Amino acid sequence: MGFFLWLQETPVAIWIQESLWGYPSVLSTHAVGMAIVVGMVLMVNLRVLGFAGNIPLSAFERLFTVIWLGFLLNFISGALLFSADAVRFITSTVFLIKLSCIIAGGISMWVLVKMLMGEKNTGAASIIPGKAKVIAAVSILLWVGAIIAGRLTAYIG
Amino acid sequence: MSPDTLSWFEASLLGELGRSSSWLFPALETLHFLGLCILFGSLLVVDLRMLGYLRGFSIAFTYRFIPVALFGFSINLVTGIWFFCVDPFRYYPNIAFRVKMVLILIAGINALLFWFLEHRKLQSLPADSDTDLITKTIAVLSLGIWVMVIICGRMMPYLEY
Repeated sequence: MGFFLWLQETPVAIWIQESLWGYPSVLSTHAVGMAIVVGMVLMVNLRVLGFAGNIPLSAFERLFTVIWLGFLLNFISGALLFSADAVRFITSTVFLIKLSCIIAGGISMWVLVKMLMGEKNTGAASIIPGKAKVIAAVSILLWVGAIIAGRLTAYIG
Repeated sequence: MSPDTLSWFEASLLGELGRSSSWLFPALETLHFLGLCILFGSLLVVDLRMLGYLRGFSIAFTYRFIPVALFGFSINLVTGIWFFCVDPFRYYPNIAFRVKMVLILIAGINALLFWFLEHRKLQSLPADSDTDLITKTIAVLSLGIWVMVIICGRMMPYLEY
């Protein structure tokens, strides 16, 4: 707990808490990053489930770079937001659920990349194993869960 | 919009429902966030193909995502109107809200221009060809405007008096 109390008192955290534009601009960045990450993840998972099937799976590989950039944006903005109210967040069940959903969601995307990306799937008629589709469906639920938990963090705790 | 019109929105069933329940408004907000992710994600696929970042397949294949974008937009249109009904006198004068609405209109015009002037031409392009400047401009405008819409939306609570 001492670490989180310390974190809240750092100059960066104080700036976010007290400056007129600090909090809204970090929050806006977080919203844009969310749109990129969850938006792209939803579309990639839809493709894995068979939607827009004539787009070669390998063509979607470049989207993962975009997802990573969005994730980096949100990791940084998220860390800044967290630092401004660290004690409240770390003791909030809803926030911890959000983090769990994000971690599990990230793992699911990593598993999908391992299963589907690479030389074996350059054709348009890529065969997607049933296991991958299950993971894609679960991944959608996890990322939607992250958004729900994220919104509820503002209301609970 | 006159105060009478705003009062009409406020007195509507959507307004009453939104104000009377403690969980409905957060639920609508969550749906609004999901809708924007669906809208932005699907547009990213189409626009990144138009920009040539994604390549190797016909642009027309991405058109499958346009109904998805419209679906996301519909969710946000409904939830957005619902929000407005809950507290129109708060939203209407808000500068971030006004800029957001204007930007959405511009995005809509950009989308219509794409649909009526460009989308058929692009369909017949070979899978590996580059796109022209007009196509790239439409794509950049699309993404840029929606990013600004998201930012305006997030700024709304901070620009109230």
